[in-house]
Amino acid sequence: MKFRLYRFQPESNQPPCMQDVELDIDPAGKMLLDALLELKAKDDTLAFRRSCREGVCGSDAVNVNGRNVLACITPLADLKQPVEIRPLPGLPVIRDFVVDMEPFFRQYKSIKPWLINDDPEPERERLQSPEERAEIEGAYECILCGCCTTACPSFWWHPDRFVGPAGLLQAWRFIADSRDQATEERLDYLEDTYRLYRCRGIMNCVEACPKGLNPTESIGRIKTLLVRRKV
Amino acid sequence: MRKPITGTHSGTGWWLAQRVSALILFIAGTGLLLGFWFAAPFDFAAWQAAFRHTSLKLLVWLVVASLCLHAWIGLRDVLMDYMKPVALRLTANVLVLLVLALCMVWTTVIVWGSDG
Amino acid sequence: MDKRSFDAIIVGGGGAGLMAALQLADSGFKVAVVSKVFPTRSHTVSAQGGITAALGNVSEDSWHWHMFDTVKGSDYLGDQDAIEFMCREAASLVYELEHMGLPFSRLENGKIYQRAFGGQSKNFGGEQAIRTCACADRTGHALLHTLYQRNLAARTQFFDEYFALDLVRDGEGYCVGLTTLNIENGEPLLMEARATLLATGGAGRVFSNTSNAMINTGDGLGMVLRADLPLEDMEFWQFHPTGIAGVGSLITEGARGEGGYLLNDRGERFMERYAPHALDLASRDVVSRAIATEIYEGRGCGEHKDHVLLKLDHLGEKIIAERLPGIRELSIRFAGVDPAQSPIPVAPTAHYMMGGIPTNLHGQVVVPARYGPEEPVPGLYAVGECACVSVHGANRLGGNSLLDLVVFGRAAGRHMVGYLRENPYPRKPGDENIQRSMRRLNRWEEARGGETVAGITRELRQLMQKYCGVYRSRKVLAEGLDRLNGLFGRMEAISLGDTSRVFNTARIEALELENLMLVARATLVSALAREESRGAHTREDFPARDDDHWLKHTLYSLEGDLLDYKPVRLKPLSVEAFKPKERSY
Repeated sequence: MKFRLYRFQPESNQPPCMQDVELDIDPAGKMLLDALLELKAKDDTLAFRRSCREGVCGSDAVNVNGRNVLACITPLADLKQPVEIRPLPGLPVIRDFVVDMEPFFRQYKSIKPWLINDDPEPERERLQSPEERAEIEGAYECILCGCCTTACPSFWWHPDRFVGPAGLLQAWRFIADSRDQATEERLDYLEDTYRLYRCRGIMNCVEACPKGLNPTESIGRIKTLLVRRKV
Repeated sequence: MRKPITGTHSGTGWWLAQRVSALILFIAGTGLLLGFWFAAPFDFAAWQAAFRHTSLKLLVWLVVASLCLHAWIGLRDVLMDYMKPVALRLTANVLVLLVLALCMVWTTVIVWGSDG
Repeated sequence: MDKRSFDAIIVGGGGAGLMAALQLADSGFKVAVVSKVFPTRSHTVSAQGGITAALGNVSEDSWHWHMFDTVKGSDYLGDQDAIEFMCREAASLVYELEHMGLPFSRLENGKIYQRAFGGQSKNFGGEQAIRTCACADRTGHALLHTLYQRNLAARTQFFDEYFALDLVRDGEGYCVGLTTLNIENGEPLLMEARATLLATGGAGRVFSNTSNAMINTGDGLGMVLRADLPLEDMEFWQFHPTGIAGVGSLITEGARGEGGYLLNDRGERFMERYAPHALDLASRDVVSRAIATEIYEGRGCGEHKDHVLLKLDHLGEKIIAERLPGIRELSIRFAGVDPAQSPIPVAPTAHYMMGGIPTNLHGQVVVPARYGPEEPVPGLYAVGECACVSVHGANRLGGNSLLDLVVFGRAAGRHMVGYLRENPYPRKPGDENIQRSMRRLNRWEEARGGETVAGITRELRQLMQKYCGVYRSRKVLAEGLDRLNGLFGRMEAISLGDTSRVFNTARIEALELENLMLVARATLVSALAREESRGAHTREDFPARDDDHWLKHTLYSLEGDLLDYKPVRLKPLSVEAFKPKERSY
């Protein structure tokens, strides 16, 4: 198979370039990560992140033929050749496919991604009906891979000010949790022209999410709450 | 990286205004279009007569006002995204506001001024 | 070399490490978590089925029954004091996690959802208990993210993408920190602390067919062995019965807990022959051996007759969508099979290391020293899969792993708080340690022969799979050890193509390989010596359990491949001991 790889090694003092390589691999039943591992076995200077290799840890997000995907769950056979692999867009590149995720995580942390409940803890669990629990379905499953946020032009323009789809999805995860008591604070934080309202609903995030989640819908629900609070 | 400056605690109002103005534009605009389509005042007298009704004046004024408000929010968004230097953005914002305000004044003059 | 100082350092950002870090941060100590990956990439994230605690939300239950099941599951090799401690603490831990925000699935009455898992019984071996608390089939993901979030709130300092190299001790043997490598810029960093906790997880990557993440390379185990400390019970590796055939990714035991069952090529529910009472929910070692036997005797499915089938479609679309969405996704992606339509091809896959760094129930690393077999190494702690408390003995029960992480993570964190108060002043690190560590690191900058890291890693993993799998014997193990010695020789001839500094993953993989080699060595040497079959360690030449000679823990030390043994702690904390009995399901 033919691959076109984005290569960048800061110590080499060379600008980034695209490298054409060919790999003798039978794509049947294999994932893109398998190909990357074989490429690395041949040339150990190729750098990328990986961990669980089954799509639950979120390490190996890359941009393949223009789409953000997790390499470990992208079937090799489905890819058009030459397979062009680049780092996620919109984040500083450290080396090859390794990007600096710091702006992404800073936005994630900005929304206070933890349950806030100041009531004294009961002896046993806090009760939550299956219906209440269902409210956070589609939000708590996020693996923080960054595919959605780095597919969002608003995040490209405002990485320091726009929370981005992943962060907003997590904000919704806590707003929607019947046990969380900080809805008002969370809405106060998001009531901002930049943090939330840079989202124009173009749904790039939905298309990019490898877990099939829908950040745009959650952002819409946050907006609904903000409007309801206002009027 | 410079400290991000944000936290205006506003946004929902503008967002809502953008939606509401769009809705007005759609409903009133369609109404006006349909009205002119089916009962178009072809000569100047008929046109003037139609515009003696305060309701039509209000409707036209409302459509233009909505358009200007909608345009202001939209252009401000675009400038926020693409025009990074603050001084430049502020200048552009002021210019856009001026043009839109002029449009409003002009519309008001046209709609009500012809009465005299 | 740059230096950073903290009160305590946690090595590893998985469930165990984060739980311990939280105790320290909440107590006002300056604590750093060092992790070679961003914490939510840790392998805890892959845990599916749940966390076991006798809440009794679905059926009547008691921690004492849970304790019995765990002791029996361990094939009586588990330390009963630690097991009692874990089972007693279980419920309070699950409630604490719930209060932290973990989004457990819920029952109609609003309580935490529980499901059946293997090896669980009521009334000390009676009917099936329903004891494993679950968040759909993503419990590990939910747990890890919740703990990470709490640590963010508690302002724990994170050193993400720092690779731990070696422990640093002072002249009196106190652990005073460790050397690390900043992966992003390639610079070494000395991290000093009065207390260090290893929570580096398992090492399933020594096998070629494994459910483990690629980061599970036993880094903490390598550090301990290089610091002249022993590892305990390294011959015991759990093979999970239901890995996706040919891939290794896990299909949770919860799938059988929800009512799924196994079939061979004749469509027979073969578990009826191996575990007439518990059937498909027998202990994992039992089910894995049954599958291996079916395949060995030619009743496997598929073209190569190398797997069996896990049938779930009779559960119906709704149950699968609600309770097992994650494994459905995995199965469609990796096996090309929708479990709601047709059965999943499965085979045993290396899953969990019961052995590890010997600790007591406070998480203190304990070694034979002057006065007894279990003297704490001051300032050094270990919890989670890298540690051996030992609550899992010779075979771990499903759902007890996440429990182990949080119970002993909390216990170790609390003990460290006390230790830090009693030891308020830092000690001077031994220069010798640091220099040795730097020599080891710098060795990779010099080009040597023509061997590659990828090549030797592949051979190592195939070797372990072939010579140290479900069924073992003296002949096979000895041959494996012989070949491993050959690989050790070839390690000297490895050269790296990449000698740069910034994000040099080739060098990281080389350092990981060094750790894997030591884990493999400890495993083979320990397995060769244990001449009995117990739990997950099955010797064809010694098919029976031998309590007279082998009811004891193995301790392996690197220096001269030395083996030592220590007794199993058969006396629980408050209840009566469970005497070793024959184990059947």
